[in-house]
Amino acid sequence: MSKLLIVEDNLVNQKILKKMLENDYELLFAANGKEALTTLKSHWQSLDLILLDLIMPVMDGYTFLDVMKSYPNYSTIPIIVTTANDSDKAEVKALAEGATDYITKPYHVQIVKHRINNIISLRQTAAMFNLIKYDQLTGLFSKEFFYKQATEKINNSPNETFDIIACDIENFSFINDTFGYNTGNEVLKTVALILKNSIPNNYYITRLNNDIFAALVPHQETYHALYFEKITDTINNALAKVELIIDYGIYPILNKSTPIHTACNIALDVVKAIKSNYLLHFANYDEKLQEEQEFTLKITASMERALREKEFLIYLQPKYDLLTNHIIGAEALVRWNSKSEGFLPPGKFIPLFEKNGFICELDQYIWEEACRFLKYSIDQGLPRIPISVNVSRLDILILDVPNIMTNLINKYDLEPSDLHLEITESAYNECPELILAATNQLHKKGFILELDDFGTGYSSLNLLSEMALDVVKLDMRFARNMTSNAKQNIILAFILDLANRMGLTVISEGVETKEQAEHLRNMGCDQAQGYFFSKPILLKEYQKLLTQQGGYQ
Amino acid sequence: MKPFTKKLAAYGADVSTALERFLDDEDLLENCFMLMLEDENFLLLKEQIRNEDYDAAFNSAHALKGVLSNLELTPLLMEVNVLLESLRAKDYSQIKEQQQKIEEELERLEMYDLK
Repeated sequence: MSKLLIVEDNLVNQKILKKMLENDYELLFAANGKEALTTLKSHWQSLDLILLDLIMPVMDGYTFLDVMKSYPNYSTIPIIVTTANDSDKAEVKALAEGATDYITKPYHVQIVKHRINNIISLRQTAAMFNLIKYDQLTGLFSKEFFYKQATEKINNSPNETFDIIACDIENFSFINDTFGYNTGNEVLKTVALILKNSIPNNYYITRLNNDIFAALVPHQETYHALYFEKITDTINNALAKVELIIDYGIYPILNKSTPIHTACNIALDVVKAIKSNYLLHFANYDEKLQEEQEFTLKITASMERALREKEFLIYLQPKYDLLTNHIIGAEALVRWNSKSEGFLPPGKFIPLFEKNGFICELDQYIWEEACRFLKYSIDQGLPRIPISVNVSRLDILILDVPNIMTNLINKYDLEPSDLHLEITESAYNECPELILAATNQLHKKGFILELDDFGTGYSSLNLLSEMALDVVKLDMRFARNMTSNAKQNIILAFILDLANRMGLTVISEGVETKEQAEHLRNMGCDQAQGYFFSKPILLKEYQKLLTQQGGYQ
Repeated sequence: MKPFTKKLAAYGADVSTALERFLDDEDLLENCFMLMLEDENFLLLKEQIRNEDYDAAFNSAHALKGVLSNLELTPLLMEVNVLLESLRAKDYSQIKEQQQKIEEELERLEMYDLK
């Protein structure tokens, strides 16, 4: 029996769908996008289709569609969105975000069943392959058909060499948001047509995803910027209202046994490397990128084993009271003592883990180790000094952070105030409603919330008024520049005064010199953290510091 | 047809379409009707209109439209639709009156003794 996941918050709608479908399908239910992601983790391999409501609390259908793109494993599961039948904008937007089809409310049982049946059958039979030969919007080859055709051409042309050129419209999201999805779709059609006309006959091009295209072309030793500028100019001349910024990445297929989807992904990595570089809009693949690719593959292959075998080490960087010079807290940080790669700083693996979702597992490990250490320290009679742990955007999206933190506190017989939670300003900017809901819940439970990297985003002041906060952590740039930048000092004074009025503690990160520490102290900053006081240290060394400090808390 | 279903028809619901959707399960239709009466979106909508939080009100009205259309409660659905279209067009000139009409329609529904 085929298996469906129904993502719908309303009980009445759930019951109706259950009644319609329970005799023909095995059904799973989720009340919002976040629950759906949790269900997908265990069931994605056996799921045949997702029925997704668009308007739901916690995580709506659009956010769910967006988050799904981060998980390549889930991308083959077709999604039918369910919408109220009042305007086609919602359907257009959902289809643009990756939905396969839509069903309108009120449900018509025959329509619901036929749509589901058809999509599942198409997916399961060879007929599906022919039907999705072409991308419905642009008329280019579908991704699957492109892969097939490109692979055959490469295999059947032993004397020829090939390149993959990938391109990405850098400002496409802005165009969709400003001009609407219908205009966005017309833009994509124009881009597709012109790109197709730019490649030789008998070579292939596809739309990989949304606004990303890839083409198989004859190999060239060198490409010139003019070649790509001409293509972009042709596209922009054809479009009246908008001006596109397009980035191109070239990957030469040196080894014909490289799977075509891997070649496309590498070409896309080349594009990503130059994104937002205003001076550069095309780049060739180079060895440095290959090394990064290989490193990424090694890291990904070993990360789960590394977690099991405790290769990830917890370090603590103490925080100091600027008046008394006593330790008043510590931030938990992670390093990887990899058996194969050696000692790795977080910059080498955290961005990758945030991309592939492993950060959630690692963060939970860090949270538990911090609690374990706190419990041990308290039992040893050391001062009861809180530890702060980082909570990422993905943790809030995927996990039930309030529940997890509460369970940890209970397991290790701690108080919520023993564990401070650091959330970055950029996490808030990306999904404000979810962050606010989670942080409010955590605050109510008694956890102390710290806003990390304050001053790096454009919504700093807004955040202070909306988010339940206790501590503001000033970004390290404030400490670095303040002795030389008068304007920075004025801003710092303003922030300190504002925080004081709001009853918030301010801690300055990245303090590296005595001069910076004194300056902050004189300006009234409460606390500081940085290499001037202490680098991040192992738990045993931190324990020694606490022992030396004695009973002060 | 059960007494409940007859009363629902008397209210003005399109029960034949509803029953088709519910695969003739009148008990399930009644159960879902009771759930609909407790839908928090009615109260939320009232508060959101009072607080002039029209974006949130749109989502609440939208959610109610989905449920009411599935239950084929045509008279109540029509009032919610009027409010929803005003919110969509950002025409708030009659919004409080339109919200009041929804309240009145709910009271009228109660008169049919469907609980």
